Amino acid sequence: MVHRRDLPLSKDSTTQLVPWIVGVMAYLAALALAAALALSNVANKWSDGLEGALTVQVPTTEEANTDETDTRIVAVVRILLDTPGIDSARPVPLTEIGKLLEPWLGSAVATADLPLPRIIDVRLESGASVDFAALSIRLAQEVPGTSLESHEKWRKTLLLLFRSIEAVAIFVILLISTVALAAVVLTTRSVLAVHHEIVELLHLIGAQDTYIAEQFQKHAFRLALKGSIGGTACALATLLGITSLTGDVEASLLPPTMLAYWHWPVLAALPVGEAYGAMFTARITILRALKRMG
Amino acid sequence: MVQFENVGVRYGTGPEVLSDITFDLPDGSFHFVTGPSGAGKSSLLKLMYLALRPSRGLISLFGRNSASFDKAELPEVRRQIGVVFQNFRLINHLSTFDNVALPLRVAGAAENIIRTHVTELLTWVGLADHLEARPPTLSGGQQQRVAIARAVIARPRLLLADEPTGNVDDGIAVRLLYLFEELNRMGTTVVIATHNEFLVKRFRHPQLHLENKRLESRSQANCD
Repeated sequence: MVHRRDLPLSKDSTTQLVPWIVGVMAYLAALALAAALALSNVANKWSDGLEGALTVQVPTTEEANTDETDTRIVAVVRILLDTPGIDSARPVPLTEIGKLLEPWLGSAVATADLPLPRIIDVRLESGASVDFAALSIRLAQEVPGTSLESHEKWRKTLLLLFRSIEAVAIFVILLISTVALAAVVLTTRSVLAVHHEIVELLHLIGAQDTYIAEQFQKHAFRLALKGSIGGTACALATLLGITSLTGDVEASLLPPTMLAYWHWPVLAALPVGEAYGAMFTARITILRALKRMG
Repeated sequence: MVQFENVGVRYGTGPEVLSDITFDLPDGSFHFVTGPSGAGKSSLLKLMYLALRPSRGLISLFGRNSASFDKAELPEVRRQIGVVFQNFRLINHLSTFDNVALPLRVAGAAENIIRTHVTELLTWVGLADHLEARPPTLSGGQQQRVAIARAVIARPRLLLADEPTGNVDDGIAVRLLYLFEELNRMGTTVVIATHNEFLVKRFRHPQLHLENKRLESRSQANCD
């Protein structure tokens, strides 16, 4: 198929800004999408890590000696292992607790000097349902002060928070797309107005609306592709920069990798999707306008 | 081929620019449309090439009421009509070749056929050396010949020309009229709006003469 250039669209000053507009929108959309994907990734990782786990805290007092504390821990572990549905119960060593607290308290603090509660990491059998309320009462009776935390509640709260932020990110992407497509619609209309005479001539010599629309849509595709490749490339560079910066602090607060490997090709494919979006928008705009022209 | 019955045209709410126009152009006929400036010659042609709708009356084209053509049918109908516009309406950024090739491309003809036919026709109208020239670089007469070539390239059933010889000398005008007659012999119905009395007298085809917005029959015209 020979490329038709009956309309001098490439020399049109009205379309010069389109790649820039699409580029900025593509940049913002790529960042919002990356945020949504990263959040989804983090939420899944945390959720998977917490699912089927619970924590039991056994408080210690300054007066209590190590033997007393150990006895209380053994009693708790025994109760836990007796409970149907519990797979394992592992007292977390003080050194490990110290490491967990290191980012906040620093390594210099001797954790042994602090009345830190002892923690028992409990894993449930897969698919098991445990009556947490009954277990909690039993633990408190046998070893006063013991508390059970089933993570489930705050796992759900955390997931809800993540999903809400994800939904906002997707909403932002939709808003950005709407603005970008509105820019394409307005530009297409103004280009049509500029070339009204040629379009009318093409009609008079028997051109179908689709013949005319094809030239507009190909032009829109090229302009949008140019802009969105630029915008997405900048967004990928920004993300790589952020990823390399967060690599230094990953040991503490942030999960090891925000984006999964398969997220990168998804982000890189954005320009093609955006260019097709612009193309179909231009096509629909032109076909509607031509229908009105008669 | 073309029938008008009590056709009237007005632009917006203005007065009628054509009133009570009735005629019948048989298939294969050749007519001149004559009349003073402002008599409505261009409007009459616009009605025939479906760029203008009548305010009243009935127009039949190719045996069908023009009001019955739906939008999807219009391109096919228009491909059977070749038009030479008064101001040529050439596309300035396209070469002479591409301007003339446009009706064939719009109709989806193969590029090798387009190349052969367009080159042949442009040679015939004396523009073989200007195939790649852009219209603004051509003289008025040359542009007119490009416009005529574009109108006839697809061998239309109906050829409408609005002052097609206005910018050329009588020698070239006669040569162009021979081209129209040649097409007419091959079956094309031809309607030419012109001021050129010399051509009207020399070629002696029937006239549709417009005077005071109305049609007056002259010579051999099959008019009411």
